Amino acid sequence: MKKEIIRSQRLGEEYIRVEHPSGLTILLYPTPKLASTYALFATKYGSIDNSFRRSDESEFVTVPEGIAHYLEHKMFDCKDGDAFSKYAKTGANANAYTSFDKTAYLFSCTDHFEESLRILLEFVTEPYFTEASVAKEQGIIGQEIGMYDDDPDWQVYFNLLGALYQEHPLRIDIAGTVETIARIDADLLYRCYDCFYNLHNMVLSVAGNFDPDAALRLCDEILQPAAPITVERAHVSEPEAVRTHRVDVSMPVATTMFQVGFKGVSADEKTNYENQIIDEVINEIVAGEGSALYRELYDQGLINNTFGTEVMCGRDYMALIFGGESKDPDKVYEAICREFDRLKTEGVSAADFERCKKALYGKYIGIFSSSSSIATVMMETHFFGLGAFDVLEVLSGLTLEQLEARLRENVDTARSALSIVRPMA
Amino acid sequence: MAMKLIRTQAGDGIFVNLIKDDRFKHDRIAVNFILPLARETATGYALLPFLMQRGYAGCSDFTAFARKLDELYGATVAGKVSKAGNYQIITLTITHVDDRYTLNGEPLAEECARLLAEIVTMPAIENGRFDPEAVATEKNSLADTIAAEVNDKRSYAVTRCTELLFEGEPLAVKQYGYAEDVDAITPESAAACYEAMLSTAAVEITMIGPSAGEAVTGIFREAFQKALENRNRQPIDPDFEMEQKIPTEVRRVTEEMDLTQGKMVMGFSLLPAEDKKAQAVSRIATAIYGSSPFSKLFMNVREKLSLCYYCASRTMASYGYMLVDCGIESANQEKAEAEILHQLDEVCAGNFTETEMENARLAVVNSLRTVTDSLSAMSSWLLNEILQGGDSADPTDEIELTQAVTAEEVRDYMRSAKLSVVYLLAGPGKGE
Repeated sequence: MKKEIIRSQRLGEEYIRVEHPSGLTILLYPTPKLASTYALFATKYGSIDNSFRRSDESEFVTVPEGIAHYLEHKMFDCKDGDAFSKYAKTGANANAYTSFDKTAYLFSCTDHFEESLRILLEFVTEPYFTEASVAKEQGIIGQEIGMYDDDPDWQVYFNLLGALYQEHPLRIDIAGTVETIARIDADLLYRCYDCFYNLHNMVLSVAGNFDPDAALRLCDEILQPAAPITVERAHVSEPEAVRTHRVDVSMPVATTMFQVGFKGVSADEKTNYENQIIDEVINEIVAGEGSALYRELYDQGLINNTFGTEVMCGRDYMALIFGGESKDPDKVYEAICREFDRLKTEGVSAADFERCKKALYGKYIGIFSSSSSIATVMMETHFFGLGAFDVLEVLSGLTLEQLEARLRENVDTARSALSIVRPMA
Repeated sequence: MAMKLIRTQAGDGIFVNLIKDDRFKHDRIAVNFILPLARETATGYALLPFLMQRGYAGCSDFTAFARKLDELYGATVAGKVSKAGNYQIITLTITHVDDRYTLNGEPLAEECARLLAEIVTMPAIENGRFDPEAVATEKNSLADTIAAEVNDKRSYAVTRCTELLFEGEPLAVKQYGYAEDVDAITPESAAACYEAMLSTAAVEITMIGPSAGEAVTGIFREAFQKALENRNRQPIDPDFEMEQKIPTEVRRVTEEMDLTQGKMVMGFSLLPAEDKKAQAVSRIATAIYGSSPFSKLFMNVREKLSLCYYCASRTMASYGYMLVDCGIESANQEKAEAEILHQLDEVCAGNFTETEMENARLAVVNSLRTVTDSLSAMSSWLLNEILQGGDSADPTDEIELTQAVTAEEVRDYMRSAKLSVVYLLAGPGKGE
């Protein structure tokens, strides 16, 4: 068992990284002053992994859209009841989620940590599906999909991804559709499980008020060495160009909502994550509340206080997103493009750079305040091949030259799109 | 958990409540103005935080103000409107990184406290009015916020049901006010609203974090003293006691919208919880009935009958009502309603096990203990504690009372639930 201490001089804090004989990476960040502990058991497997090949098989297999999320729901079934009723006996607050590239099972507790960790480690490593239990979930997930169909924030986002990407499975709703999930059965779920819930492809991340030795003892007891298999994901050849520059739909909303996206340049995973941090500074410079653009749009009544930006980042995709409500989204889109072009030609002022870097630094410090955000950032950075504290180091070491180079390389207004959800006539 | 709440008076009806807590890497100060919730005044007051969070007399330019906050390591100033029973609460908050974590050791705490103190006592009012352009822009923002209520169907349905439950009473008044009242606001009337707020609101300031202390308290004491020198302040004395509103009949309202999924909300009147003991009973009852993944609603309406993705109850214990909401195929409304009522009957009949009681205790205690781990959760908890007349620095009392709740207390409490409103937001042609 390889054990390593990872320290941050800046924070005066540290965590333990363990390569467990089972194949699992374990990240333990004790913070004895907090009351709660947050544990995440996650696999690098999400909605975009729908075509893959196991290293001990010859053929690629393509599975129905929404299956990673369906599997997440069904993992809670156990031979002897379901995981929620087990957690009920420990008082832990448990949940799970599926994103584009990962599935995470989690709990938060203030007592009975070891009992809860045992439940987590056991149910995620012991799948148990029957045809009947799989069929039962169709109704529940069908209603979950219906809920998202009526959610304008979700629709404006997925319409944007559908506009930006031509081939990439990012275009597809994480939960799939009522039609695609109808094709899911127990065999398919086991097949996906066996590929992606291999401990080499997973991480256990725990932060908060707990005893790391106790956590390791439980891992030793419960985790069996994983088969030495790897999974190859089908390569997506996504063209540089976007599918369309504009999607415009109507829904029962009161105000027009929009998102503008810039399809970025993806490199390797680690670089993508580092670039995500730089891109967040770029977004702040371009359209943060202190920017000239924000002021211009706000004064013209083209944006309101719902306006915000985000950076989307994964193993083979990067995008910058700007969104909110507007009476004229096309004008906002135009103005953002114009501002990017201007900054690419004229450069970024040193004052703006320092100011936005500082603002973001203060926010990143906040990540290390709560057990949930610490556990989450350890898990995410691990999947991207980084350490949790690298987030602060990348940001504090960032130079204006680096940022300008990134801006020129990554942003091309020709690779952008606008998604609108407007009120029904 | 051995923190101390220090409550000091900073003026007539103005109190500072501080908890020094070194565990956090940020500090948070919130100034809460507590005002009676009324149809006539709600919209005017609701505009104030929008105006005040974008600048103040010392820095009225919105962009310069935003840049100043960036330089303070991304300190955030946020204005918020909320509702607590018959009161509307206007809150202005500053959250900033603690001095220990700045890149070059720059101290921020006192500067940030001074900034918030000036924002709330010296807003950008000149010659008896706010800047007309700022008022016009923020009126649009407020109108958009009010209109956008309908965008989130789940919370919209919950708001509609609450309105129906308390029709004609303060509790039905919307926290952000009304679209038709936004228009009438002028730069002068907005300034008059601020004057009214400063003169009449009960003010509760909460500060939590490593820097909370006498220096920061003094900043607020002085700022308010200065601001009130030439003003005639007559603060209200909020009273949060409520009586149960027993319905004479069940009101059924169905509204149509172009939706895939119907949203049903059932509103019940309940005996208001008058003290922490009664609130503890309410928490346990709610966990057993519908707020946890092992609750009767989750286990039956979702897991057994597969009728929905969510079906949950929430209880506003102090204000005497409970809402059960679920997202369903509208055709399944009757089935879902019957099951929700049946499960309530089960709780009222005492048909729950000691295991269910123990699970509820564990879950509630867990969520109470978690409160102290986040600045925002602590802030909300502390405000509520103060409004209820308490003086604790953490939920220790609540935890003890929760452990002691009995099955009989749960049963008796839930027996006070009376179905009052059934509201359905449904797709076209799916209503009556």
